Amino acid sequence: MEIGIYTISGAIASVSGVALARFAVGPSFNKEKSKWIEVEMEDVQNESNGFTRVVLEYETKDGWLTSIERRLAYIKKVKETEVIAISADCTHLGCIVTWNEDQEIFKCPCHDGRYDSEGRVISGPPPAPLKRHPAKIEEGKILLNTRLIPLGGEKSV
Amino acid sequence: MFKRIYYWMDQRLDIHDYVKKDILDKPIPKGLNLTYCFGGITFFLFLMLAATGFFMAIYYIPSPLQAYDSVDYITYEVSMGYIIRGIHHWSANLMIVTIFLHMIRVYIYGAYKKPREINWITGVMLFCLVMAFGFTGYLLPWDQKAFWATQVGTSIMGTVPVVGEYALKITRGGSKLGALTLARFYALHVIFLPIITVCLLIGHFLMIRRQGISTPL
Repeated sequence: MEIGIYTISGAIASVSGVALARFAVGPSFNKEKSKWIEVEMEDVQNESNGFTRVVLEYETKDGWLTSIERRLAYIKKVKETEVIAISADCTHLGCIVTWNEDQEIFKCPCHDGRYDSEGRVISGPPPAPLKRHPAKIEEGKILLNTRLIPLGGEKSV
Repeated sequence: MFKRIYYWMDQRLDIHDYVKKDILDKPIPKGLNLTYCFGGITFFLFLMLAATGFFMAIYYIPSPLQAYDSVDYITYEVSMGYIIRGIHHWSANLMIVTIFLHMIRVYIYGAYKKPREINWITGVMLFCLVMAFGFTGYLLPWDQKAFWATQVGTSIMGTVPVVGEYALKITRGGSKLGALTLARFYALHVIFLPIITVCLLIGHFLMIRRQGISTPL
């Protein structure tokens, strides 16, 4: 009798406990979804003209909220079939870097961080090179991924 | 009038002895000074916070789109809103001060020693809860200060070895600070933490009544 009561209460407590714990954790460990976004072809110039600034605009979900996220990137065709996309977020404190055509560097206006045309740090406070968006050309369209990866690919970290 | 209600209740519940002996006629020991008031002041502030908090929940909306505007509405448009929110704000600030002073007093007088160790432990738990109240409540206005303070605070959580990343993600409800963070901080601030706090407070008070206040040497 006593054992039966303990077993039943124990079972109810543990089952609801596990369910509640899982419920509280909720979507905490869900992976962020990334998308491929098409960039207008005419905007992109050839390498000789340096980088073109593009705005990535896409929907993101934050719990039940859908919002529009905007990111700035500099893209450049390196070959007819290859394109690179460098994120404009300074790795120091997240200001927007600008491409300086004359000096061929990215400059951050906030604390004078400077990066070369590959996004590597030349001088100033930035702790890491500028991040990249995965980019590809498919059927004549330029596609950028919303994900950010470090220079040299994800394994370099 | 009140006496009659009291007698009416006493006839049925037989509470007079209990109320008189255990609640009203409990003499305090000699030699106490004003520093013994800090615990009581902290509790008083807790009651003020609870009262003003309950009423602010009438207007507050824990959603990134509406939190700031609802706080703005409470503060500048609802009658007495400025006062109610002000009381909540200042009581919260003062509570940190008085709980510290209470703790320092207990420490200096050695009141935590045997047989009152359990009371000290519940007290430390209550202190942690007050800190948690402060941390979760700070996010709710959803302004720049709230957002970045929580960004920094939860990031500090993430630096704990091994479990840090999990703690950070569970606290934020994901890797980014957003709608889910605000909602869970609100739930913690107004439901989970108050219930745990009240339970511990009951224990804290029953134990001090049972054991008596420790007197200065």
